[in-house]
Amino acid sequence: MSSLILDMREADPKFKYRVKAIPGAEKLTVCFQCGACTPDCPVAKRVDIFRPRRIVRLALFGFKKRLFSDNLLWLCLGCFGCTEMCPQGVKPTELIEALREIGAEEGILPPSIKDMMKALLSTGRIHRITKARERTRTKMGLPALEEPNMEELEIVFASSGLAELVSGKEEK
Amino acid sequence: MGEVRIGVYICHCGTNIAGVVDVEEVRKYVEGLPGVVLAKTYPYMCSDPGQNLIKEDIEKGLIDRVVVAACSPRLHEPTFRRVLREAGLNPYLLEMANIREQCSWVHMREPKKATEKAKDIIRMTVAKARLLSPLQPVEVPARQEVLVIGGGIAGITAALDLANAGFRVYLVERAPSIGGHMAQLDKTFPTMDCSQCILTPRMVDVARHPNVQLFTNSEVVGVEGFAGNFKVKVLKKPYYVDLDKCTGCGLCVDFCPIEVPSEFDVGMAPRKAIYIPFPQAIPHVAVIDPEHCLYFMKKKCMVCEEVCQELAAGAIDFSQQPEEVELDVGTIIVATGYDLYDPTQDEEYGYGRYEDVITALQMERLLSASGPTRGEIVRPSDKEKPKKVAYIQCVGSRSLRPGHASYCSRVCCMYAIKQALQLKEKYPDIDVCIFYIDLRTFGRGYEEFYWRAQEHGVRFIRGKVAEIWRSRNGRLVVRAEDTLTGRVLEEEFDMVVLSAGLRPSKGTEELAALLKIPLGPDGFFLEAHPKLRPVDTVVDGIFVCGTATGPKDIVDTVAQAKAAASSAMALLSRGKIVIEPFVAAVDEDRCRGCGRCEEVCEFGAVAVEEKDGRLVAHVNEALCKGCGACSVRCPTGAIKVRNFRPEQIRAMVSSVAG
Repeated sequence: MSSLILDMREADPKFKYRVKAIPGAEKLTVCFQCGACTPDCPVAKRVDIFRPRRIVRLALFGFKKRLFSDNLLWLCLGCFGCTEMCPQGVKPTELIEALREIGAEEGILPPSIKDMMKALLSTGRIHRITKARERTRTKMGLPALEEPNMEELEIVFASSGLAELVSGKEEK
Repeated sequence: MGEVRIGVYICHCGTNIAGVVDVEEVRKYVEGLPGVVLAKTYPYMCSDPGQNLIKEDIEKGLIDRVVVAACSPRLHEPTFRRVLREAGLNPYLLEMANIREQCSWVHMREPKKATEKAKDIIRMTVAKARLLSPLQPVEVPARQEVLVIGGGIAGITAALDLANAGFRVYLVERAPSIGGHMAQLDKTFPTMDCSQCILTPRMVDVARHPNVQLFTNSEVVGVEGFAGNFKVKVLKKPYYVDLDKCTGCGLCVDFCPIEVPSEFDVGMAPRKAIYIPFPQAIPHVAVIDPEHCLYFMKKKCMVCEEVCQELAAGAIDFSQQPEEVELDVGTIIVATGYDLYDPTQDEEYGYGRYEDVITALQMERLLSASGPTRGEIVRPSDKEKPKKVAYIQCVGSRSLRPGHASYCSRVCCMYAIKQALQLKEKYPDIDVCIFYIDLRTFGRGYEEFYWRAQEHGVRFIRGKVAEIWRSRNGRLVVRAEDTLTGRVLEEEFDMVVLSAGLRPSKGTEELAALLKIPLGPDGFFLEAHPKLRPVDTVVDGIFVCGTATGPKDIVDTVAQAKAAASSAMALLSRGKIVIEPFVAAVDEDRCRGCGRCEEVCEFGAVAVEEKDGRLVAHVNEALCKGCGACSVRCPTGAIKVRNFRPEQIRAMVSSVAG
């Protein structure tokens, strides 16, 4: 089938209900595709396939494969510009977060995010704090960073299932 | 009381009821209830054969009370009352058991429970029906005058129909001239009639009609009474001009030194502090705006008085005072129209910041042959002819953002297409582009009109505009996504027209409070039923038409105005009004005249009066709404609402909970 034709066999009409059940994404189905979300989107200006409107449409139809490919969902900067413009109260920013959650549950995570999660699991931070960064803090008169309390964090990791997300379904 | 014989008639309503409720099971159950002598079911109780079923049983003398278990009494109670009357039974010996809206429709997934609930509902209704008494409807004389509030096309149309039918009409308009928004329009879709050409003759007709009295520059400030007998207070604001003397020559206007933005031209032109609202204004007289007139602000100038005295009619009168007039009317028609949404709050469109961003009503004034530019389209910023014009649809409408309206304003698609066509006709080289979300061209001849615009080369871009800004060369840049190609576009235009939506007119809430009629969640007046009673309100004798009940075009507005006029005629033409007898009644032997009923009555319907040397409560049946507050308050049980007596309510309660 030509790529110009939507293959509806790929669409999961029940997917939208799964998305709507996540707080923040409840208004998915009222989108009327006006496109107010797109013109001021800083990502849409640079990335051809990224349109908040298109993401809402794909989610509505349940084109999971397209949604979860090309790291599409992870390009959003979270500026909330689309959410502010949306006349229907769809909140695309929060919707995209909900879709990321679903992606993560299914083990679909871009390598960069996985790296961050791994770093968090082992060091308690998503970025490594370099000596240079510490010196800058001292120069600016900021207090030294406290070491992460791994004991407390382990509890958070365990209850949020972070470890399984990174390791368990890694090769799905 | 002798033994009552109740007949229960259970309606299938096709599958509406029978698809959920087991009507046969209900019928068998009902048959055994005390007082019930027969119970029948029928697919459509409201159909002719269904009605005959009841009629025959009454005529055979089998039953003397009727319970119809079907839909809401709001729908068919009048139908079945008529059946009783035709069969020779007092029509108030009927009770409706609502097993559709309050049962089968809301419990469609639980047929077993719904069947049980239907039994409960009917059992309660039967318990009440056993205690029904025959009643006579109350008749009150109806005054033959009608008050029409609002002098736009809706009010003018309703007033003319009523006046032609022989009723006396008081037409009250807040502005100094009648005409309303339609007077501001250049042409009207889809016929391209000149708005003024079809409106002005109607304005003249209504003003000259012997049965019509105009109250311009006036507002309704008080309403009391009831259908057939309303007392209305109208406040006439001063013109500061003697209406009988002023000839409308306009000399005073020429000499007045003060200029302010014209309301009629929506700020596209100035007017003076003394002004004639527009060339076709009725009454065609000058009016002084005391908020800007130098005499009222600083006690000086008075040049208008001087020139009028010396060269014209001597009509200026600074000493005029507001005047209150009392009118007695039988019915009231509300035709207060709309206000245009003010898009200033939508920062992204720059209205109020960029001169060349205007509303469609302002464009209408530019297009108008009698407008400030004589129909020439010029950019406000430099008076140049625009080469490219953009329209932005759904401004302030179809949006849940704060300050916006969730509804569609219904007329903006068509007026934008109309203006685009007019621009193309005036200047064939002009480029007109309409940015829309959905185009709604639903009326007769409307889609064909849209077709015409497409043929003329008007561009339609499906995408909501996100931002407008001014580029260095002074032109306006519009940014939107063309959702049909998925591309973001930025395009320069000379002018941007905002298709602003319709809002309830200023003062709607206050008027609703005066008339005691409700508003919908959108802020417009609420009709009694959107389909079956579209121009009625919940208050008998008050009708509403045109954009006062929500956005609509001139076609629909005129249709509603004529409907409201004919409804008012239907109510008044018999000279008396029939009122439902479900009002409070006093047992004078029990009443001891304590006056507690009078204290709680919200409608001023109960008053304690002296009768044969002692105090007793008296009910004005025309004012009473049958709310029952007095009945609850009465310490002796002397005042009760007919057929809603405490013993009936108790019987209903104990039949389910006893």
